[in-house]
Amino acid sequence: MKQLAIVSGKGGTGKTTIATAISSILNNKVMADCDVEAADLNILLKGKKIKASNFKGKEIAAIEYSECNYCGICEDVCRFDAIKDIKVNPYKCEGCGLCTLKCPLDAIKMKWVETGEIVVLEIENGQLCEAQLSPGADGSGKLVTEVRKMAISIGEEPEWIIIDGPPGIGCPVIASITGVDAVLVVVEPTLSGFEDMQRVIDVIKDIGCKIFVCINKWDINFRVSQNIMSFCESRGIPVAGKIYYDEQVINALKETKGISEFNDSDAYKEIVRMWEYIEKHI
Amino acid sequence: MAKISILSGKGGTGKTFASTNLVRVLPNATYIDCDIEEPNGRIFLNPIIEDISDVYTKVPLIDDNRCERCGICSKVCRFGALINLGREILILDHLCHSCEACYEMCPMNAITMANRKIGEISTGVSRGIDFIEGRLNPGEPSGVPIIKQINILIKSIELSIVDSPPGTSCSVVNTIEDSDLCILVTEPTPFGLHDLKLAVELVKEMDIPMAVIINKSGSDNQIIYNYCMKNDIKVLMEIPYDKKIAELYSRGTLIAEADSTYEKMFVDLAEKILELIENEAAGNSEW
Ligand code: SF4
Ligand code: SF4
Ligand code: SF4
Ligand code: SF4
Repeated sequence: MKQLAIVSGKGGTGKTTIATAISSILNNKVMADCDVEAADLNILLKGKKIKASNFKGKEIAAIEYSECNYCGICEDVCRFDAIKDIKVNPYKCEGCGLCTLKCPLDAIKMKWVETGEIVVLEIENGQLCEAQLSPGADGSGKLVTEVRKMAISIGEEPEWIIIDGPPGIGCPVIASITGVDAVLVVVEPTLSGFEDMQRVIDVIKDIGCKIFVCINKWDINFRVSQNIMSFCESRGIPVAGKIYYDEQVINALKETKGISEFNDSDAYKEIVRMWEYIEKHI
Repeated sequence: MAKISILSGKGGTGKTFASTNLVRVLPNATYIDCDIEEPNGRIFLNPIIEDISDVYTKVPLIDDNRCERCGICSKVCRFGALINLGREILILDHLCHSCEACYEMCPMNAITMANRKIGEISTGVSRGIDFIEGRLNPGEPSGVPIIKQINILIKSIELSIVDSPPGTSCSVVNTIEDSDLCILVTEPTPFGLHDLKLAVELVKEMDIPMAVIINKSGSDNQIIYNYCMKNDIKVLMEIPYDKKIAELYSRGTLIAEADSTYEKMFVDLAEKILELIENEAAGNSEW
């Protein structure tokens, strides 16, 4: 079993299109949608839900009012201003437990709360695991780890686990790429895209896994594309794919179809070629 | 004082595009980049940075001379940041949430809270526009302390345009807190709609007035309009799907500066926004 994570630094670079296309190429795989704040791989993969489970990812303070004398100590000690008028604000509570330690009447208990849902879906030649973080919740990194655990346990010895990673450079991204065999960084040739790519590559380098780069919409700014190429060369990172701007991609998305259904499109052909390269060099 | 936050359920929908162009046409507005993991506003506004201040979180520091190795601190830490090795207590800075439970509970008063840098806030000016940017160091687990610090600055700013982080997590909650208006940027695709719904759910829960901008607008706008109508959300602007936008964007150029048609579109948007905020302040929420 090999694991490949697809990341981009920022959303909207075509990551989902590429992940879906790769999914169509592979015969025995589990897809893991680790963008737990906005999972949307399934809009294209159109899987059938076979399993769902709640994820209780966080403990928060709960005051037992029958035992409380409203002394206000909990309010004073909380470093996160999470208690106001002796009421716990679940968005602000970090679950540190200090109030429970300081309450003279032992009136506060920590209780687990749901921070998301993990879903498994049946897709063509495999499964898809995804999750949705409850709005405003934190701990998306933990949820990502759960999705990956589920992805590993669900399949019958899948050949590939393909992880569609979240945007950014923070904890959820690190959770998505830790322990994978390789990371594919998808970038669009814009100044901001180039900058985001460099930041995410710094994070991947820290973790130390193999990196491939794919430049999407390669022709929208040749100068930036060239700069990305030189950057990759200087860092010893192979540019595995160069996908030209292709109207077919937009048409496919509009119809919520994968680009693989437009299999004579240039974009799809290039993704297939890129995949062959990655498979060989991983 | 008004705070307008621009957000989207997902990145890459044109949040920075909308905020930077909007701030360009609004007199006396300050651009504030709270997309601390990927702050990009700078590329378009080219500010002259006047000041950079470090942002710290607090982590425990143990005084070996006082510590009796009782292990209480490591027991009370619910984030696994203190590991009791017997001979010493190992501190894992990245896991610490700065709750100070260890500091409070240490029987020997051996713990003090020390500063650890997690990022920085830059302030500057871009051709008359005040500019503030938060930037998180790579690999840091949470940028919320940076956002909270920026929120303190916002309190004394006349008109803040806040470029929020993507997603719907706690850093978004902290960014949009106390906003007078949230503007959600979306695209007219099933993906855009899916992500928009998540963002709407969050903003609703926080009880903040909101409106929508459709980016890459085209023949499929109806799916967004239908949803917005059903939920009583106003659509303020349609930004067309135009190769010129993509091209200028890739070069880091503001379209409101380069093209008078777009400039006018953003001026219209600015007027609508100011009107909404006034109405809201006057207690008229029927919009
Ligand atoms: S510290 Fe305990 S008793 Fe005092 S107000 Fe808080 S919950 Fe109530
Ligand atoms: S658990 Fe910690 S953060 Fe939550 S209310 Fe208690 S002291 Fe505050
Ligand atoms: S609680 Fe205080 S004395 Fe005990 S191990 Fe921790 S630092 Fe040392
Ligand atoms: S401050 Fe809180 S999170 Fe940090 S080490 Fe101490 S107990 Fe743990």
